[in-house]
Amino acid sequence: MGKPVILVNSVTHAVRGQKLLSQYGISSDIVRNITHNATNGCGYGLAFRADPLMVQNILMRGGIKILDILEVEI
Amino acid sequence: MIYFDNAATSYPKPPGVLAALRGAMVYYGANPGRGGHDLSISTAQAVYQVREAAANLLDVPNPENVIFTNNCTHGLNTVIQGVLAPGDHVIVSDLEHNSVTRPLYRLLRQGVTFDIAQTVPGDDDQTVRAFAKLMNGKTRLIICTHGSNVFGIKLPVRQLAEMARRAGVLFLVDAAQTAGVLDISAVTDGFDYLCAPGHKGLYGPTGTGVMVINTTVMPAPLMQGGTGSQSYAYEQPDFPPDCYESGTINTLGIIGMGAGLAYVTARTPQKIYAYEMSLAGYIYNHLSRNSKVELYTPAPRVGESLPVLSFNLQGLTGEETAACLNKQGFALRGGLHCSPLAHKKYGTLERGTARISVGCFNTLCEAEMLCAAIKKI
Repeated sequence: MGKPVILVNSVTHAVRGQKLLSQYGISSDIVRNITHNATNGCGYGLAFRADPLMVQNILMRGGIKILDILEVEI
Repeated sequence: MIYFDNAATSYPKPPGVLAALRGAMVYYGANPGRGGHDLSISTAQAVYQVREAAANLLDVPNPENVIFTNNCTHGLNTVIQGVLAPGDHVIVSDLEHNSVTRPLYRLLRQGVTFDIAQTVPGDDDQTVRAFAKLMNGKTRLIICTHGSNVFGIKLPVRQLAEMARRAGVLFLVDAAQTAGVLDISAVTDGFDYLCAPGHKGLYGPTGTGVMVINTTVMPAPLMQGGTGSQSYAYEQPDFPPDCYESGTINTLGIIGMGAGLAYVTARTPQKIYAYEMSLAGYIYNHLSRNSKVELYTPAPRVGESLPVLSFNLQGLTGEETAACLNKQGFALRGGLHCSPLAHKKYGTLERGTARISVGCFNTLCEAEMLCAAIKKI
């Protein structure tokens, strides 16, 4: 089973998201989006081990646009 | 060399800035936002920390609305050229720098018009009324320096922002001389845009600056190009900071500026301002007792002035005075200081002025030596 990864618009959003999650005690890693599809290529994501819905809510409340949620082997 | 040219760029820089620059070369050598390897990510994190520090100092709720620029002029041009269209009208103060007036003169050819408000030093209400009188149905933008780089006059940007907001007009602050010196808050000052250099009152290296966007009206970017994000898209991303930061950013300078921001934040702008004003007041008092010195403004007053003084010596131009002082080991700027409007207002367009601009590393002893050197000329 892989780790959930939330894809965001840019590395700035990823760093801000990482700091936001850490305020809730959720540790995450910034990862490069490796899916390379035509709609979200060359972006960044946050890999974490926590409830994806909760993470999604925290990020969205922080004004961070979520592009996609994937499960990736890291 | 005793340095009194901090309005041009601050010198020396805090020791932490030098250490940060060295550290950035060693530890943050990758390109942020361009790769997934650890060095690129850690560099992006270091850059973000500076963005956050600038947002904290300027009280900007979202760090992404702090855009890194090459200098203050870069930010001012981005806003001026990015929000104005043919037919728009602009109001500026009579103390603006060429970084504001030159882009506007260029835009005149494209059908933008502007008027110059006559400020009234020491009377904020009259200054605001002078701007208000020039408003018309086409006024799109008001631009105002937070403080004159020549005469140290502080302008009432908070009141002007309020007046602009009530009229539905955008308001841009040129904080070239005030970022790091005066308290600035995007939340309470109410400006739409603010541009500041990183290398003056924020004590970073040259080649750095910030542009703050405090409105939903996003200026069109000056440049387009690679941002490391949305690479599939042929068009520029539409979100900050990426839409304004095309091409590899000045990582080294930004991290250096971060150390400057840390220094200013720890010492606090209030204390820096109070200290610099006390030295400026000391110098002014000495110069005002020298019969050969011509001064153009009242004595600097906390809340109304910046620690920037312009003067001339009888029979000399500003450049000549600065050259005499350079021979004695003092760094001052002479001439027009890129602000012909301000010189026109004070009748110094022909001679220019010599300018003393105090920084937080100047000492009372240096101020005494400067006054003695001016007396000897």
